[in-house]
Amino acid sequence: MSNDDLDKFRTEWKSELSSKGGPSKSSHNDISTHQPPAQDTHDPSDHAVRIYEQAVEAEQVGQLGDSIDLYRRAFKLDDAVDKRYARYVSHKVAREREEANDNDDGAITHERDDIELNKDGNYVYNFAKTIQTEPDAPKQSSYRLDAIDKLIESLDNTLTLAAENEDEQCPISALPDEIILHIYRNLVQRTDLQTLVRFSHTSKKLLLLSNDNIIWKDLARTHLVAPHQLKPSVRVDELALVKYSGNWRKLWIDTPRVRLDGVYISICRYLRHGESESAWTTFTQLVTFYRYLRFFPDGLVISWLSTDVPTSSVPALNENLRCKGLLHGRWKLRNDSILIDDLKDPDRDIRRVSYVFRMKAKLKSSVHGKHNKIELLEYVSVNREEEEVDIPLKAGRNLTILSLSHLTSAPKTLLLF
Amino acid sequence: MAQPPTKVILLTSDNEEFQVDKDIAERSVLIKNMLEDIGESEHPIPLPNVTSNVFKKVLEYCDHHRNDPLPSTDDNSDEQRKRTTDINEWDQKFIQVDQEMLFEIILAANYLDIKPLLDVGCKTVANMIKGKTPEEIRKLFNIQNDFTPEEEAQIRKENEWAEDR
Repeated sequence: MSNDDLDKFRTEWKSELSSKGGPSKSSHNDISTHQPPAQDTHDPSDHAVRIYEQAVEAEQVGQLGDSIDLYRRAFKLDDAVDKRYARYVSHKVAREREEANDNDDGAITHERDDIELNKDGNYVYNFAKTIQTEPDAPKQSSYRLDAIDKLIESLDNTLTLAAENEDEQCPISALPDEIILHIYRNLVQRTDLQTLVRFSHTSKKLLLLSNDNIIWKDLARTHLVAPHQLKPSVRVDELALVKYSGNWRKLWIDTPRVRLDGVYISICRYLRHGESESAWTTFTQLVTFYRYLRFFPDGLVISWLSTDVPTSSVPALNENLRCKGLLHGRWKLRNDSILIDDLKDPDRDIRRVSYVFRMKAKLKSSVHGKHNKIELLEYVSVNREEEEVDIPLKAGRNLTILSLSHLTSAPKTLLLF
Repeated sequence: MAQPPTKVILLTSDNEEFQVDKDIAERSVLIKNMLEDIGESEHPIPLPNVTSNVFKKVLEYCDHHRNDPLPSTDDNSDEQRKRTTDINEWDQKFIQVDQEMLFEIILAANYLDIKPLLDVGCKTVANMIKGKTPEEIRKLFNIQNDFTPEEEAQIRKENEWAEDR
């Protein structure tokens, strides 16, 4: 890769990091394939690094006047440009070294992961990596955790927090590990995992500390509890030990759990043909309604069909709400199957109703989050003689979570599908 | 009530002496244990890890909370206390200090073993970073980003599950 390409790649990468809400799919492709982007975005600080680089080059060939000029311009654009440049150079060197190593191993291995070296030293084409042998869903939902684990393994306890700007103080670096853990645990207590994870992204030291089992144990023990989230016979401690070899972070990420911190929503739309007085015009109405499912830790589930939009109905959706189309039931999760039973009018005695509804659903994950989708598989009404009658589910089978915290802070982030 | 409260003398790292009511000083489990160990004494108790300006703040907190029930060591109530993420109004005002002082208070609370104060401090830090991006948090605390771009991209990808977009 030439310097130019690296520059472009870096610019693109920086701009992606800074725009957190950007289209994620395409950006990941870019990152993973190391492709230089088609267009260059002009981040002033990166521009500054480039000018700084020119200045260094000018200085090296003895054009001091030019170089001073360029330095001045660079610092004007970004007063921390020297540090940025130092980091840029160290990354460049690291990458060049990496590429050199790759070339030693053989050129093919660099880009292709479907060809592997076998025991005899021959390259073997691995079908499993190109041909899909598993169904879609689990593949999508299983997150590769190896990179973080590997990174964490390479870190050691002597890491410290360094100041970005050395002229200013960095008081947080004085905190001992136990207090950082205390802050992490406080975020666990309020189930603000987004902030927790973002905090851990700030530096290696904080990433290392975020892997501490004490944090994830707290979380798993509070939230993954029988009899609703787990079979009563399953012990979460055992699960952590046997299935996740003691890695509670992995256990938390991978173990299916019904999300209690949000409302699962689907949009249903259908066309209704209206009556008309003349034969020349016909009216067609597009009707939009929403299916809401909210789960509570005590086993209560509220199912609600409503034409109200999520921004207004989700905050109102609590156990005291009474509405047309609103039913209360009981839920439990067994592996990734959600079973909802005894759905009925909340104010009527279960012994007095002549029939209840039952739902079966599958808990899924999207690329944007874990356990944030529900696919309704079956919806039946059951009468007293246990006779089941199917209720056709034409639309709104797939429900996506809307985090409650999102709704209170930023109603704009209503992303349903 | 007729009896004047017993005083204890505390000596901070910068050699400033503080005459403090015993019940206020005993908000600190460290000081409480020390007093139990040495019994009645005219000698000041040294606090080598706390400076006087931070200790003044800490005493202000202890004075305001002198009549609070002492936090029990029982685990359950511990959970209960932590779960409430709200900081009461007085504490909120009290903790409105610059970053340097905030972290010094946290360190002092940790050293002096004043759990409720440590909690207030940590909750405040959690509130400060709530909803912020890693870049914003770095800026807030002046933390250097020591990841390579590749490492950062990997971490970001693997931790997408927490983003909930």
